[in-house]
Amino acid sequence: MRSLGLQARILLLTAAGIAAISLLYFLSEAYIQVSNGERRMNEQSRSIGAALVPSLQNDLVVGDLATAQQILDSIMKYEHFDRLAILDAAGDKVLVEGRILDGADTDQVSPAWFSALLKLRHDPIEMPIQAGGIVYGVLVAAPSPKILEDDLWRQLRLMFYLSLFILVVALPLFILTLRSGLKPLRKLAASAQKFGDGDFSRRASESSVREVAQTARAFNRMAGNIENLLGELRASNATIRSMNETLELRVQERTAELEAANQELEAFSYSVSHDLRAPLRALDGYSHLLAEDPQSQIGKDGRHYIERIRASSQRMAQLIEDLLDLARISRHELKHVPVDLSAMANEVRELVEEQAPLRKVAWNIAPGLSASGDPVLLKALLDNLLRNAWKFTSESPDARIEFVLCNVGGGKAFCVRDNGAGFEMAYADKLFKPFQRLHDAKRFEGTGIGLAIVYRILRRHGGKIWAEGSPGLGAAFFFTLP
Amino acid sequence: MSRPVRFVLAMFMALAAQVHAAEPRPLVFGVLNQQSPVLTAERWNPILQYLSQVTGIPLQLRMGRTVQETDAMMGRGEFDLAYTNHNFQTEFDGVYKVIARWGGDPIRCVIVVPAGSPLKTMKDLQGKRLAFPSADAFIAYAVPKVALLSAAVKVEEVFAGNQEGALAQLKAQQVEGAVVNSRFLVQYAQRENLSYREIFVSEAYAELPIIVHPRVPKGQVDALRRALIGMQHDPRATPLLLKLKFPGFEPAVDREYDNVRRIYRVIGE
Repeated sequence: MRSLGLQARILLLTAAGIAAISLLYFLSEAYIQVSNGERRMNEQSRSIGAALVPSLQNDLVVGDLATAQQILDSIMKYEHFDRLAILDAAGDKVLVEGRILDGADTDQVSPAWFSALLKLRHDPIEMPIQAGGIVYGVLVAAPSPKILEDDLWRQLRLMFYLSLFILVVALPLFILTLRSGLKPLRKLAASAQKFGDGDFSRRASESSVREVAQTARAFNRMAGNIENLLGELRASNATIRSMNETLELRVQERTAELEAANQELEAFSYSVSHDLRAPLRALDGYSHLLAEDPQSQIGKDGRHYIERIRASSQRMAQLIEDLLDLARISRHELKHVPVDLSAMANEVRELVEEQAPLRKVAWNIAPGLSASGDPVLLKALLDNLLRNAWKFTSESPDARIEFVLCNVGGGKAFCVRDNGAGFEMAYADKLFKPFQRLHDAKRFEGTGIGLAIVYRILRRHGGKIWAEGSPGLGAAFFFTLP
Repeated sequence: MSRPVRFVLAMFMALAAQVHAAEPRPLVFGVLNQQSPVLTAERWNPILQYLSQVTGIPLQLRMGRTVQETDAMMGRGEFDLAYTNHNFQTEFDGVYKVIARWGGDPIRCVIVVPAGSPLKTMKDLQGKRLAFPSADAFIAYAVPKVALLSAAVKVEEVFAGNQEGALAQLKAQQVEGAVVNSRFLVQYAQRENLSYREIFVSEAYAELPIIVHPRVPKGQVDALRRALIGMQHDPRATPLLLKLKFPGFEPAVDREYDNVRRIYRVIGE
């Protein structure tokens, strides 16, 4: 039913309605016909019996049973009775029994099952035949339901043929009328279909059917509004697209400018750093020669000053070297290959342990940690983080360094954790900026460029890094790689 | 037939005779067809029931469909008693005996014409249309027939079925004259405001008698005669007499009907 069209639904509902009404009409009519028929049949039997009695009176008074027989036979011919007889006054002995003689129409029109279904009530009646207080006999008349059954059967057949006629003739007419009546609706549906398929200029045609005309007008208003909105939307989209194109161009230009500026800056930085190393080496070298010259007239204080000059120049050289490293990170051509981080971490561990074989540190490097990225840069990343941990656990009696995979915020992140000096979380945002130091340089040497290098490596890979820590309790660095 | 069988048969017949004796055969009472059998039964059955109740003699009404059938039944002796005067016809006369008669004044035959009719004598009726109730009627047909024969007047006979019809035809001027009995004429004239002139009035004839067949035992005849004559004095019969508008039976003897016999002899019946 859900998939049926309006026409089929109306047709089905109408047919069902007509069938239901016809059935109800037929049943009620049949009930009335049967009731009235039964009543008429019994009344008719009683009337015929009442009419028979006077004529039978004369026959019985004169004892003319032959004439009475003729009368009963003549009545039986009309099939109103199953039995018509005259009994004696006591009702024991049959004086005359009505007979159905040859030639009488005894054909039953209605079938036997119809008679069995109806079960018409036909009670026999008994009428005394008397005159002057003497009962001469009793007329027994058992009405026959045959005529009524035949009448009802004929009516039933007539109604059946009538229904058939309606189906054959009236139903096609009804379908044609219905199709004609639904034509405006079908046109409206076709317009809506076309509109739905993208033909936004489509409009419903006018109709003489009031309801359809109202719907068509409402549809046309809606279609007009949608078409206007679509026009505005197209214009807006064109503007946005134009703006996007302009913006993209501007971004590209600005990016190119920035990249150029950055490259110039990096080149400048590299050049300066590189060029600064030569005079520093000269400074350091000549200071060394001056301090080591046996023939030098420089006194004790002078030597102290020369040492100070050398220390500063060496520190400056280290700073320049770190700056060059940082610049190299930016200039390094990035590769993406599978990298075994666990193996790299173990290599770093071995290097730092060789440099300080007396230190006792509990290492926990999880096996099988891997990622996709540039092996040189990722090696530098792990080197900086693990060396950082190594450095800041130097004062811890039970130093412990871990490189594991952690569950963080519903995701996974690599984690380098130690139980070293730690840091104040308030300064966490300064950790990854160049030359920013949170600890005294005398306790923990360094230039403050390592975590800046780590930050830059992860940024180039599209990863993230953040840190958690607490003074005296250690620090944890979490990073992700795409 | 073997002796045991004859013995059993004899015993059976004796038993049957006893049963028959226990239920006496009703006397058959014939009634002349003056009315339809039903109307006759409605009039006579109550009378017969009364008589049976009074005398203890069961009586059964019997009649033929027509006058001829009834007369034939009488001729065959099928009636033990009868209410008729057809027994005075020559062919039946001498068998049944009169024991009583229907009560009331004697009646006469009257030939009437409208009061303004130019017909004044029997001779004037020559060739005229005369309405009779029926050819079976005694007073209204046999008696005037004899009178007309005596006067040598030949009329065109029109049978109206009954006396009512005969006078109705006269009133409607379908006939020039009508023949009825004197009692009915008075009743009709009063009821229908009929003005008439009598052309002929016969002698008086006694009402129909109750006659009895000689085979009926004398004791039963006497009992029945007493019951018949005593009916008009019996309070038990009063409602019935009133209902039937019947004065009761009166004593009668056979010679009171000699004038009837004469009429039948004249007309050759």
